[in-house]
Amino acid sequence: MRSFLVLILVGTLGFLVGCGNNGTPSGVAISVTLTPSSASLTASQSVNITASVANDSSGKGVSWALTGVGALSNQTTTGATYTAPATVTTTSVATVVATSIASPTSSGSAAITVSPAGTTTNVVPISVNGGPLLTANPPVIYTNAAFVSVNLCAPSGACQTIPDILVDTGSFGLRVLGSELNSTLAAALTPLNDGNGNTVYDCVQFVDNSFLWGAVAPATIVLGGETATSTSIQIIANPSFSIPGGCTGTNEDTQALLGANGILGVGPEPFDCGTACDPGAGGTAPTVYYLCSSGGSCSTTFVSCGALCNDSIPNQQVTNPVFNFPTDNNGVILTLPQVNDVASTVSGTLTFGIGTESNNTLPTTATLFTLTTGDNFTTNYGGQALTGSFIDSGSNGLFFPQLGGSPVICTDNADWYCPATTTQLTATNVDPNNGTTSNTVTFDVDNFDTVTNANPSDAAFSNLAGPMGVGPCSGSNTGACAFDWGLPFFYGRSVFTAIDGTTTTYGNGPFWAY
Amino acid sequence: MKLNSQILVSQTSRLKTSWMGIVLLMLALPIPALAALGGDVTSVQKDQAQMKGAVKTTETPAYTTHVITAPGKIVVKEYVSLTGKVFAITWQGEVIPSMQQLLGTYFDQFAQAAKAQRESHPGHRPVSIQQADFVFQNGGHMRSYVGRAYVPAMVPQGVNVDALQ
Repeated sequence: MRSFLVLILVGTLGFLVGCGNNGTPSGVAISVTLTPSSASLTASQSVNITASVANDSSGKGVSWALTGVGALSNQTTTGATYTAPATVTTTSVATVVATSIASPTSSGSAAITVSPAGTTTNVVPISVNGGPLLTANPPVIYTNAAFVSVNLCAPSGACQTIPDILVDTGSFGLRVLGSELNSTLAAALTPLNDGNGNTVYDCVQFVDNSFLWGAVAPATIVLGGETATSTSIQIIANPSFSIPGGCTGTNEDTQALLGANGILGVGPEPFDCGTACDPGAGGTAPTVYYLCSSGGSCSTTFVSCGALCNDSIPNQQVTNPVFNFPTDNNGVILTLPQVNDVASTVSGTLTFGIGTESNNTLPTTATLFTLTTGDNFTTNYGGQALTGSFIDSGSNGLFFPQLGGSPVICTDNADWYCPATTTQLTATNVDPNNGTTSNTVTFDVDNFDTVTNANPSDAAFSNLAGPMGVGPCSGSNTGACAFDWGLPFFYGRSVFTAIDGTTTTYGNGPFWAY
Repeated sequence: MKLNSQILVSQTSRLKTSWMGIVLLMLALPIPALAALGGDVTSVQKDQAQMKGAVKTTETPAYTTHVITAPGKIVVKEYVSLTGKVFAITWQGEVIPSMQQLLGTYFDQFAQAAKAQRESHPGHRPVSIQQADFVFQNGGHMRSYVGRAYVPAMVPQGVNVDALQ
């Protein structure tokens, strides 16, 4: 009898604890993940979506909702089917949301691009949603970062859809955390080697003393309906040997350190290094590619970038996957909706090809900027010509020089601006080759501390900015001669990035247009 | 594959007679293993060797400029005062040169500030450091990086560090 009473009490307490914390023991939050988390469909196509709910002790599952075109059917507490409409005249993104029944503040979503029938599905959805660390413990929000899912396949055919890859117009090539590959794909991807047991590795050093290190392997990359075969990617992983100099600082080989599962570099170059790393450069190879023995002895090496580098050996450098699509391969368009200061999440699209389909033409109202050999243009700001300027979706703010102490730099975060009140500024982008094509941009700078502290759960901030050096730009040899138009620049715009070495109906790459 | 590690030196720096004594004194002092910023002029050759580059030297009345060109289309300019101190360094290139090599004893300050920046919020951003004894900035994108570092107290009288070419 006594033990029976104890059981009842325990059960009751369990129930009370559950109720008090939305059905979960305190400290262990319910989270909802949808698979797939993104899809690209044309008219009338369907996709089955499953919801997995972590820490759902009551097993109640989810309820479903849809915003945008199409319809949901076969809804259960663990799955639903999304079907695109029969008639689609223009590409749009529908969002399927699954909400935990036990914890109605917990939800997950899937973004689905719906394109007209008969078009190559050259569009994939992207989301500024705070990234995969939102489900970490403690959660970390990665603001102003656009994420995409990539379908990564080994040449032999094993495939895996990898979500939460950062879309980056400031780099070139696909880099994926080795820790995110399932065992089948990890075993099937075979790194490049020199035939003597030495493996090709790639080192990507960032300015903030962090780096990516990993083997280079040929892979097949599928984005929407576009496929790049025999394309070198970097598999980011911590090796069992010492990483040579050239990669110094923090190895961002985990999701916790990188904030993403990888980086999709779709900037205006086909290769991550180009002629400087091609054997034709002569001399000593730069600290980018290495040949490492199985014992961990590494030395720098050249890797061919193929015909574009006047090399008869085919390209094997880490390559912008778009460049290797059979069509729609001359650039990308990144489109995001307007953000008025702050938004919890926003969805947009990554479209492949410029002027190759009905959905990727350049508007007559757009301005086109040809670029320098360094892929930069000029921004006139604060009475100076910043000749090293660029557009970079991988930067999570606008970065420009502080002049005369303005805007004020935050005392606690020296990489952000904290003006006393929101400040409006202007800058004019100028084509560096003709010197006349120009476009003036007006933008606002919020106090970083105030706006991020007031909106701790939001992912999109249109007015975040920070210093690109301090002091005037003199000549080209200081860090303060650039305006970095990061992700906030993309809110409310379609930004066209054309790849060097390709042609478009609007001119040869490289260029940026918006 | 064979590693071609040929080092080219096109011109060595000329010593002004009136400063010979000071330079000889400098050479007698212990030379740090890592070098450049804040180091003495012999550290320039260490940087050049580590970077596997070529060096060219230009003199102006107030300072001497050593330009190191290295693989990856890297150009590093090391500015040496008349007292033989590397007071400023600028760099540009398709690849970031080794900060550990170039910043010498100032590398730890850079590494700490960069770490604090990285850990405060996710994402890669330009680095801008303004400390009383160390100014640093580095930014750009893949295949196009530009930056500089200098020690304010070592900048020679009358030299505008912002105008260094």
